[in-house]
Amino acid sequence: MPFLLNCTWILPTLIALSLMFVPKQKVGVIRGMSVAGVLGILALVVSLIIAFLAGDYASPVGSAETTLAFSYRTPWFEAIGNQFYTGVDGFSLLMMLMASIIALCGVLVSWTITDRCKEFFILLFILLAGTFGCFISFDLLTFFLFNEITLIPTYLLIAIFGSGKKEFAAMKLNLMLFGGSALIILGMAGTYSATGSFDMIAIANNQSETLGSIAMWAFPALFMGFGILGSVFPFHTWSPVGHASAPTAISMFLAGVHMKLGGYGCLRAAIYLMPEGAQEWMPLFMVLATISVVYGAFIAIRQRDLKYINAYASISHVGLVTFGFATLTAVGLKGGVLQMISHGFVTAVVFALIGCIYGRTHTRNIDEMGGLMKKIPFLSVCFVLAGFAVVGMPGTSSFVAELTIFIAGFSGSLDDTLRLVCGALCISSIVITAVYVLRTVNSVVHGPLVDNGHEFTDARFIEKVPLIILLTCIFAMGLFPGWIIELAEQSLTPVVTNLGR
Amino acid sequence: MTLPTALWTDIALGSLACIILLSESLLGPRLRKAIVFHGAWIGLVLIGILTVCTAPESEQAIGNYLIRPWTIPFRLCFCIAGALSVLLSRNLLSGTGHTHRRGLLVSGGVHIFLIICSTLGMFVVTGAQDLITFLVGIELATIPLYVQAAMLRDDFSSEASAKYLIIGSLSTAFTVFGISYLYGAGNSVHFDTLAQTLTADKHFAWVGVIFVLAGIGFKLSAAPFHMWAPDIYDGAPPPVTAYIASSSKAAGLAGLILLVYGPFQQLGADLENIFMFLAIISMTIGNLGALRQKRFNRFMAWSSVAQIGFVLMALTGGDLAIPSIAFYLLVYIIGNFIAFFVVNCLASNRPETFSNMRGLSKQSPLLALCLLISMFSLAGIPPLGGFFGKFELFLAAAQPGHEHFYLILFAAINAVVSLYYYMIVVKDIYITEPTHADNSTCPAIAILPSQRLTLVVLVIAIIVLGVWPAAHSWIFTLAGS
Amino acid sequence: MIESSWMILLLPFISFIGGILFLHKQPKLAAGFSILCNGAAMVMALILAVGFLSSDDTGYHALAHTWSYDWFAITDTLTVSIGALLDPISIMMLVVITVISTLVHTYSIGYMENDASAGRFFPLLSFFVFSMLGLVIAPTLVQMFVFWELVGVSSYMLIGFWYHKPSAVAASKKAFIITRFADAFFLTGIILMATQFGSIGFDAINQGATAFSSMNTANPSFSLEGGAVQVFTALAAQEGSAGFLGLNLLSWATILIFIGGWGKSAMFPLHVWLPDAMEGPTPVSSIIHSATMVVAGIYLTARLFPVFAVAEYTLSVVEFTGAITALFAAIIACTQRDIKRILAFSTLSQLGYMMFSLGVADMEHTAGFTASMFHVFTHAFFKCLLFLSAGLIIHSVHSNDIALMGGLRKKLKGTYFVTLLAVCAIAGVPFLFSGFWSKEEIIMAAWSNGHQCSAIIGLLVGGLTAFYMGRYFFLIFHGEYRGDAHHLEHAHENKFMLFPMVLLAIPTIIAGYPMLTGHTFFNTVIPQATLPTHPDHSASWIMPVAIAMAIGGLLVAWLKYGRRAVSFDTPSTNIVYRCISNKFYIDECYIFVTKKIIFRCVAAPMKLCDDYIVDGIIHSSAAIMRGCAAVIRHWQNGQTHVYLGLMIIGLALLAWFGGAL
Repeated sequence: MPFLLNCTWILPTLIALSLMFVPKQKVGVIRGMSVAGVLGILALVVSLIIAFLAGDYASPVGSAETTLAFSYRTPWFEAIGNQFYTGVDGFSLLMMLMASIIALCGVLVSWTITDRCKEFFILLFILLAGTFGCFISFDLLTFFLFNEITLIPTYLLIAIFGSGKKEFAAMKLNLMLFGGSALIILGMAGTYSATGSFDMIAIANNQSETLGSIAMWAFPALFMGFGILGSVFPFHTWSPVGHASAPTAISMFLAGVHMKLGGYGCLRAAIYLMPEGAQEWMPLFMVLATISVVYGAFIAIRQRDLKYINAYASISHVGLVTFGFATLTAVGLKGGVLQMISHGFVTAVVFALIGCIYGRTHTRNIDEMGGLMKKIPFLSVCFVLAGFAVVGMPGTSSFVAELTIFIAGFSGSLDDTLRLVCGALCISSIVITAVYVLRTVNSVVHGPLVDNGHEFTDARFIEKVPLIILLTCIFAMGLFPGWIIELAEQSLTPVVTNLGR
Repeated sequence: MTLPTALWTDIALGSLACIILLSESLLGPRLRKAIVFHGAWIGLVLIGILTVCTAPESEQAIGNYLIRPWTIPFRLCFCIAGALSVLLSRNLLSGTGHTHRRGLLVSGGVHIFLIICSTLGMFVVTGAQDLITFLVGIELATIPLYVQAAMLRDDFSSEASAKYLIIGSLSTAFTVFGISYLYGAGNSVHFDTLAQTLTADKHFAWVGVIFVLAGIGFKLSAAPFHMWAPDIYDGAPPPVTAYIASSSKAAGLAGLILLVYGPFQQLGADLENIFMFLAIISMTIGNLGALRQKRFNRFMAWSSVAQIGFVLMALTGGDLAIPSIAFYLLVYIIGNFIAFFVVNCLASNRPETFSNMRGLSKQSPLLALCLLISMFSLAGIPPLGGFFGKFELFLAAAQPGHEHFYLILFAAINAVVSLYYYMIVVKDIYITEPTHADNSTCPAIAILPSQRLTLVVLVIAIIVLGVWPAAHSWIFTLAGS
Repeated sequence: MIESSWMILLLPFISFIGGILFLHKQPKLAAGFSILCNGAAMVMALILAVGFLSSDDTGYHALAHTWSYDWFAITDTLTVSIGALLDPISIMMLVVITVISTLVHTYSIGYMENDASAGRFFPLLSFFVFSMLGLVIAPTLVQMFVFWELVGVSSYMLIGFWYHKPSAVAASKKAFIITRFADAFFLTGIILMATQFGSIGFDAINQGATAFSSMNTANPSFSLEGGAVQVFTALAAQEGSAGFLGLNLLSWATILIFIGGWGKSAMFPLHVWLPDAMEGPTPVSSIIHSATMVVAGIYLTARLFPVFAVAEYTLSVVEFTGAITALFAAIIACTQRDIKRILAFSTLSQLGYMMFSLGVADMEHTAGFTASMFHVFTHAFFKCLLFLSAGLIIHSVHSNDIALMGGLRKKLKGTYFVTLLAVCAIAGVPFLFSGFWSKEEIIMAAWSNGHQCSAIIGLLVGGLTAFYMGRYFFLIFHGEYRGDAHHLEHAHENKFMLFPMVLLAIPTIIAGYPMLTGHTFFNTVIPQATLPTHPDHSASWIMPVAIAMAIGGLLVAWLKYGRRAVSFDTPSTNIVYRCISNKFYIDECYIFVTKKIIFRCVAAPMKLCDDYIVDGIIHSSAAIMRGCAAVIRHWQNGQTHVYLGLMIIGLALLAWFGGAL
């Protein structure tokens, strides 16, 4: 099992390597291998989840080792205390499941790429390898390493295959994310200086005074470092321009999965490791998260470009993740995790739809669209459904997640005025969300048909598949969230216990 | 008196220099070509292997010459850099059938001989146990480079050599002046004695320290003693540039470490401040200088200034400093050489400007990929060797008792800036479409088989260094104690 | 029957799913299928109601949780479950909704017969019904919120059913966003309830609140269990606390929850979406105005009545809101020309009645509560009937403007007759019609419980109602036809449309009679022995006055509009009249606030801030670096003496830094 777990990043690496030897003219082979690759990853993740659910990992509190399933540990660059330490808990498994589903859909929506197709898939698989590596690493340095691995393919994918100001966007995105890495390095240097180790679980169990005092500044460094990746205000500006310029599949993956690495890191590497720092600093991050939520939503109202709208919507919704975390309660953390998963699917399906619609209208400006429901009903209905998912309608995954987060904002004692105000502002964002979503939906799919609309054709089979998969995931999670919540809750127990110490 | 095993390498190096010189002057042209070139790089590689094999467990002394275990990785770096420079000279030597845009070296044999001499000088630096030997070593390592810099018959080369000589002389003067003060302050030239007598309260000693550091700063091209670097890198023959960029710095660093952990060990915290100053200045100026450069070699010069800043940051730290610097140097040298190899191939028929690199990924995917890997390694992107190398420099500055967290933050932000210009290179070779003018004048790129092979080996090496910890832990065993 | 109550919920859903997936290309089949499903649901609801009425135990203890499914857990103690809570008011609503839905579905066959997208219409209508049914049987606040939102979604889709019409799309957006705005408060209230009072179940909340209020009246006589204990404890704990901005926590929570109902029930000033919602097909309007959507707010208030009653100010807010809305909407209705808008404002006004009637009740005097539910019941039928007839009229004369109608009684005889019944009912024509009884009850309850002001408003609005409904009726059916004669020739009464109207005429008359029989059906949700106090007949002058108002209103309308020909040619110059006919310019205020203030003064500056400040700082840091780089390049000029000089300066700096100088 530990080997199978590591296969989640080895497999994409191998596929990337073997794609290098495929002649670039053989587009069919490349696509075939890619689909087989992502299906393989999905199968791996599903089998891991089955094994996890079958195994007895129900009570993760206790000694360090038992918190992880399928753990594998080997010295690596051990002279500096680095180990190759992998394992999973429910949280990582859920993220991996989401990532693999979105990856599958991403490969499917990239079916039409023919120019430099080989490079595209090689880079995509490197990105996948890095992502999965992150989700299974429990050594801080290894985690950081995998996180860095994801950044370069992102740059190349956007700069080569993107549109618009792609080179500028890719560079800005990458520099800002590496700026986050700079903060992470600082935080890691702090923890290393206090503990001499990178083992996350060991650090989390370390209650020394040195770490406690270092946490006072290392925590914000780590949290903000990952927060930049999670596009927390005021370091969110990479995301709209980056998402807007990226090709469809990459927008999906970036906003759906890659941004979640930020939240994942915030929880895993910041809150879990340094609860003292978290208690100290969370008011600040709560304010920043609330600003992200409200501010992102308001700016989305003013945008005209579909991708920009969704990018700001993402900022707003990922802000809710941070808000959930910032409450530092079991409910809030759980809500944040749920929102990460839910938003992954939601934003992926929106970006996929934007890609499909752009392929027909050749514009992303909502003022130049209209009445698509008449000509392309399948895509339009999906668009409306996705819109409702963004709004957080009951039945979609967003509702479950957002309700949990909002409840966290008001649970417990009501003495904390800051939390109440922030919570109320976050709730108010659902109205603003409704405004921009409905405005967008109405001007894209409703109203009179645009002049050139008569040539549009509805989605082809290969376009329908990813949309259906993602929408199914959204509704499945919205209707039957039970086991997801249970897994998330279980794996958060150590974090919550740590916070309470 | 038995000879310490570790000394064999020094002797072998001296002998290799003699053999090369003799074969250059005595052998016929055909044999000469083979022996001088192949003999030199194979010899250097073998000496490198010998260095590793004879690595001592503890210090081995012969008279005032002391072989320290931690210097072994440095010596290995010198050998590797020497061998790679020889290999890099290939298309500037007569008889390969290729002609370089800038012509051939005046005398290939002498050039190679001087490389080995300089390497020997560096070996001497690492073995020095007193200030005089140290000075001799430094000069032996530096003076051949003045000559080598002039080995091409164009104006750039001559200008570079002259500048290098003038500025180098000034720095030598600084060093000598500093040494004289140190002698005055410490009443000895021997490192062990100086370690006892040089204390922080002696202002007299500080003058010496500062001057010696300035002299070494020149070798390292640490700001504010870096100003020669862009001009020399641009003008000197490519293999010499590469050698100056790698080996010469390694030697400077070895010398610096020798002094810091030897005679200067009591100066402690004040020295840390100086290094902090140098580190901050170097990385900032280096990074800013590297922005918007148009010529590749100048760009590499600035980037090396910045890299030295990171290394100096590690020197503010504790025990981790030596092994992390040693490991970093190894990956840095390899990364640098990949870049110089690629650019040398490219530059054999066009000026090495960025605009000429556009579309490289289409013209030669191998070179493009190598350059990409080199840039990412220099920028410190995993899974390449540069990542751990640079990361450890950060960790070194965060050790208990030497927590320079502001410096780390500053350096980390600088690393982001440096990423920008490395990515610009990547952008030029992979993304920016060449304009018509760039493209039309460029003939196909010729890569010599030996250089292609070297490139592949180097690229594999840099990936292996990043994921396979063997070399890393070897260095830490030697240098960690 | 009670055990299989989930079928009532499921059937419309099957109709939706089946229709949308398989039948959207066959409108006839879709219509048949959905009528079948809704009809079956209606039969089941009626059986349920009959079973309920015939059982002995019709009080609070008849509350039945028939099934429950744990949806997801939020905390250890808080689990969101989906289930059914059957008690008098929910059963009453089930009956009303399913009856009306079946009739409206039938009507729609005729109404949508020429519409190409009818195959989409029937499933969506069924979905609307499904959402509303889920709402009324909700045993918890969260389930209610869930279906509440689904009601919003389905109304969005139905109001914007003709999505190619920009006005319809705008109206659907407006409806959704305004209700969503209110829902944000509702959600906050729910969350406060859940986290601070520890329960989201209506049972627990109401029991806890009742126990608490009876404790205040020194009658702590019954035992609590489960969540009710928590609620009771929490209520007791926050008693007397200063609270926030002068309101204690319970008032906050309940008022926030009430705001949700405020929006859904389109109370002033959140009413602006309702008149615009007329852009949807008329069957949709009729179902929105009668059985679904707008009564949701009333229903919510009724559901939580005990806890609202315990809270300090909440019921006053309810009363005030309702009374204002009743008066305000009635005034506007007198001036409107669009046939559906008149009805829309009349709905608003009637909703105002229901709302203030709830507000005038309290835990001891529950007559207002009963009256309100009674009015919900009666109003549903006659309002549905009015809309259906309006739809038929529009269908016939192809216009919404009553200025272009007149004299239609000759052409549309059946419609004329049933509309007359409905108008009498809503105007409160005495004795025969259902509306009279329920409205009477409301005014009586208000007066007898000491809310004289509301009672007087109620009487006044009764007169206004009679007037504008009379105006409506006479302008449409009497006098001379003023529109395009061409349309009149083709005007006819489609039998699919007429049939449900005739059926609806029956409850329009008889729905008031339970009043006379002691109305056990309207027993309250309130537990314990506080049986509904019959209206205090000490104020016996009220009934004659109310009758006089109704007759008087109709008479004035007849004098003004029925007797002689009316001209609409010259627009009135009276400033008051113009202000009223423009709905007091409230829509304009909204547009000003949203477009000018929120978009221009909040969102736009934020975007500018993002582009020029947040991003600007990042970009300018890059620019600063470029500037520094230029300086460095400037000094790197190839001059050896410059280099040497700088080296020496550097040396000095180093020395200074190292402390040597």
